[in-house]
Amino acid sequence: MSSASAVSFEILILIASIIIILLALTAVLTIAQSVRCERHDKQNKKVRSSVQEALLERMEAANPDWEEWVEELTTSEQRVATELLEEYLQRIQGRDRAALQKLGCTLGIDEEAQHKLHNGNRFERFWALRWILRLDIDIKIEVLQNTSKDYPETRAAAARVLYEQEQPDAAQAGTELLLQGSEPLSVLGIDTLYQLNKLSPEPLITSAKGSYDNWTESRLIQVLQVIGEAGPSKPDATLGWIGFLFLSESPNVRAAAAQSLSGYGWHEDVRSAVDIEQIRADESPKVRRAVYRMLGTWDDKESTDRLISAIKTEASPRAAIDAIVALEGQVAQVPESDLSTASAAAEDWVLRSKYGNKEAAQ
Amino acid sequence: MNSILIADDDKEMRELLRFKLQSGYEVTTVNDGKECWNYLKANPDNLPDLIILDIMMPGLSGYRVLDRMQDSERFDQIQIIMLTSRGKEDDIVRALESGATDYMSKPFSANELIARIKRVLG
Repeated sequence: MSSASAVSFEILILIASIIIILLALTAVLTIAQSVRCERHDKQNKKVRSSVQEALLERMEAANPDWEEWVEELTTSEQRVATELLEEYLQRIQGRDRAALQKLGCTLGIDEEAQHKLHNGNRFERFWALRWILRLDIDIKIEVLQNTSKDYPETRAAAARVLYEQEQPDAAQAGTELLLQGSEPLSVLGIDTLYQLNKLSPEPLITSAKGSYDNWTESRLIQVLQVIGEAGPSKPDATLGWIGFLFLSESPNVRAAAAQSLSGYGWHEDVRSAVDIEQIRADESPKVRRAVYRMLGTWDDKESTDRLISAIKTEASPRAAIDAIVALEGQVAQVPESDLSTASAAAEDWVLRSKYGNKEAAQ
Repeated sequence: MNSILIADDDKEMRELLRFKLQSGYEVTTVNDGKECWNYLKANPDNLPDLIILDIMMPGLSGYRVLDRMQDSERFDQIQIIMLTSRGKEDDIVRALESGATDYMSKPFSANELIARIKRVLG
């Protein structure tokens, strides 16, 4: 064996030894951590029922004297009290909630939340926002905006705080916060966006109009779906920009655009911005299905006429079903011989699923 | 003393409700809709005066328990307060249409719940 290969063999042995030592160290640390967690769990279980009983009894008292109680608690009892507190604050309102929030402050959670919100990493800030919500800690919109803007999760949590605390301008500020960046929204983000805009979607429509160009397709579809689910907007809300989305190459975006307009048929702005005849003839059955549902929701004579025209030519069985359902009982106006093959089958299927058989329906 | 059956799959919720109600009522708890239905079938002579019934439960939802109860006259005297999620208007409408006496949204106020129970039980 040459001296060069002997050296490389020694290096290999050294690398292998280091890897084995690192693996062994990781295994030891993992086991130690598991043992520690198990011990914590056992301690928590042991004290849980006594802490729970004392906590609930004090919650009922006219003067809970949380300071005295917290001073008597061991570290593990304080941990259990904090866990119970969070569980109960999620479920309870009214006088009991106010009493429990005072316990949160006595445990020092409010100060810890403020500190972590300003100085913590992403997860600590998320934790802080959760507790700000649970303890109803007064916090300025600007502070929430400045401390949560860099991650979608913290933006969603901060917007949720604005919504739950019913802060003035919550809809505007929360919507702007959620719509920063371009990535898809989390489930919390979508729900919060809906809650903030469900009664009056102007902040969402206005913010989306100004920034949809920069979003990913997933984000755009999410926002369009929220717009479609939100309540009626003011007559002067600008919805015309949604018309441009029907030019998108993506059928998913075109379908979401149709879905978003379902509740806005009465807007002149919408009617003039969208070429209904063109989108009704979209090459994608998915888009046509969304358009049929939209026309069904609009439910005026013009929309009904368009749906009646559609069922005469529709070739997609799935799209035909949506058109027939959107027409509800009015499909009977059309002679069966005028229906496309797909629409005739769809009518039969819809009637059978609704009434059991076609004869009963007629 | 009036008796109350609490059917909720959320352990903390059951604990809270039991704690709040135990001083004024005879309280029994069950873990889900199926247990609730089994309890009612197994105790025909000792039916609760009122059930606090959560809507969203695994296996058998609160709605399905309500539907089954409506099929039998022996449950006619039981009052039902449904627990719904906040803001779920459809849930509230469906619960009341299905025969529930009243509803409470979660998170709930214990004092409000007790007031509703007192009104329902008279």
